[in-house]
Amino acid sequence: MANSNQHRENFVYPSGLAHRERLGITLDALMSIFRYLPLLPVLIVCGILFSITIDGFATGPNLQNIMRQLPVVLVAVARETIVLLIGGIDLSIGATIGFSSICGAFVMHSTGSIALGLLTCVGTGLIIGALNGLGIAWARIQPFIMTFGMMLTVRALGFLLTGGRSVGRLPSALVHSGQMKMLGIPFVFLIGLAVAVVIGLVLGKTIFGQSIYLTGSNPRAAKFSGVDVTKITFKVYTLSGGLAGLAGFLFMMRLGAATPTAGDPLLLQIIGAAVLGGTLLSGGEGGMLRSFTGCLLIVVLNNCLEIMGAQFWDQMIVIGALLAVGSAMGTWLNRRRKME
Amino acid sequence: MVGKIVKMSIAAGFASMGAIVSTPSFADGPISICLSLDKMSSPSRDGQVKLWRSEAKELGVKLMEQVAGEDAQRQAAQVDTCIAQGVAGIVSIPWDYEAVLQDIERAHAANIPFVTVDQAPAETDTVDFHTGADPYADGRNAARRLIALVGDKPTKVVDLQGALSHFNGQGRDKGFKDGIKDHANITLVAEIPTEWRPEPVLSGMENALQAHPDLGAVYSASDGLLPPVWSALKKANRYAKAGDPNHVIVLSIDGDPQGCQAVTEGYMDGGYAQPFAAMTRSALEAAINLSKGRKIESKDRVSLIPSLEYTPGTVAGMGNDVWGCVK
Repeated sequence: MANSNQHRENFVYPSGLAHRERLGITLDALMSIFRYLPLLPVLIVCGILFSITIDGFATGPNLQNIMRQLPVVLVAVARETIVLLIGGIDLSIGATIGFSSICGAFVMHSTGSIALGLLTCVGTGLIIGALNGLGIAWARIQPFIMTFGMMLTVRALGFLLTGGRSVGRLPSALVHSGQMKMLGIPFVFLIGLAVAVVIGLVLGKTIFGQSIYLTGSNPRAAKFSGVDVTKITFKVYTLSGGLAGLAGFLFMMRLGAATPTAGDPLLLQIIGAAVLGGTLLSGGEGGMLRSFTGCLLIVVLNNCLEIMGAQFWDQMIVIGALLAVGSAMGTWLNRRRKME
Repeated sequence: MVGKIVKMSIAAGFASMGAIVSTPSFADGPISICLSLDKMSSPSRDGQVKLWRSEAKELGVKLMEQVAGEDAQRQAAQVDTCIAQGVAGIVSIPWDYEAVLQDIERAHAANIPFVTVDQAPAETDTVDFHTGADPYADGRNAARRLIALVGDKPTKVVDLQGALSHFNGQGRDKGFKDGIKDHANITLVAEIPTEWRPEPVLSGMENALQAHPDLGAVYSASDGLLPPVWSALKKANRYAKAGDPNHVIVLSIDGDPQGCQAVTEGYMDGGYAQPFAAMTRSALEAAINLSKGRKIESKDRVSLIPSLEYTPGTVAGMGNDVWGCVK
């Protein structure tokens, strides 16, 4: 027996590694993944725990619900992630979602064209984002001030256009596509996921993405490295505006209506998801995969709390507490990484 | 190597969720109805929920209460949760009268009847049953009361509007304006959009009293907006009972405890009590009947119940008819 154990321990696998060494590398890899994605083990544990303890959580319809609830927040979080990465912030995201959805709805009412509606939503978002970018990148206005002012202005414009009313009676094809499923997966979720993947690839695999990280971690060093920090800042805010416009379009697909206050309640969730996932408010650290885990955790928690009968204020308490704990953990992990 | 492990962990997470499949929680036991509320931030909602709970107990129904906190997206997600939980019916006070149309469609796709209360959806022929007061009629009645009180005397009025994205907000506002439009002596000097929130009321009222110290009347779309009205009137030394030269005519809709108290004490000249008892009962009964397969005729699908006018002269004799006056 002892001989067979020893034989197994010393057995050389085709990869050239002994059994113990192989296990060690697997554990090291796991730990480095968990350090990079600190919410992943939390998500796995939550998934198992909720499936066992919460009646109705692990059912097909409920999982589809979670997937339907993700896309608007996910696209909005993608937007906020790239802004946070350059060390900025964007408070106008909710107002942009609402206003772009209204503009898109009006265009669809008058033309009947969903494609034009989509272009209008994204175009409106791009314009708002570009204005933010101009103010922050060139006029050197503080991002908090610029985007706060933009939030108030855009929200007021939304009320002016609609008189505070929702805009409904959207093309039925749009509304039905919001309910469509492909192989049991909601279509809106696939759109949100595709956007997240594209943003993740842009951040991780392109020079533009690398420039964003450099700008966020050290703008002076980025400048000396040949990065045009001003242009990058402008492009980031413009792109994020376009993403908010897209989120407004997804909002209409989901709800079948546009409203000036569409994105207002999302601001806490959006920033919370990005920060919880590990994207730093100071910039330079984070990414789409991390923000995705943050987004998923918030949506899953909200879903569980609803099933358990908790009210929305309970959900806010939980999210707020998580944010505090998550931020503290993120800062601690970041310090450890730097020390290593 | 790292990529493989990431994929495995994600798969493990989802597999663990998919491996244990439980049946919806309301498959057995008493009939369950999802109560989807737009908000809980007003005494009228509080009153309605208390009535629902007592009626649910009486009818042997289990209520799954959800509060959307004035967020249409959250309300849609909560309706989805109710559908996934396999409820027998949904009773909803929608926050967004356009967005609720999709909630209704999804419920119908799952063969779950959908009943709306208080706030009607944009298209009432989509919903299985709607019951509520008639907000336009309430606004007209308030206008009629104002005209009776002021006669031909020139009177300046402030209009505290509810949320104009709501059936009730629109109806109460339009009804009042239509009611006074042919009376040249009554002038609307300010329209304050409150979104059913008291916060904009105080600054709006203070500005109106500043610009028009001789303000004659206030029309409020909801009793929930009254506390800041009283604060503003007190600051301007205009908080006085009927009969006092400083008195400002106040008319409001809902019939909640603060409205009842204000009318009883003589600070408010007329209130319009929402028929909450009748509304909550008929909504619950409709949801139960529909869940058992009983049909509701098209002509009976929308039930508008008139509000009850109560004034300082009549409130004492009205007993429990005004829900806010019930001890």
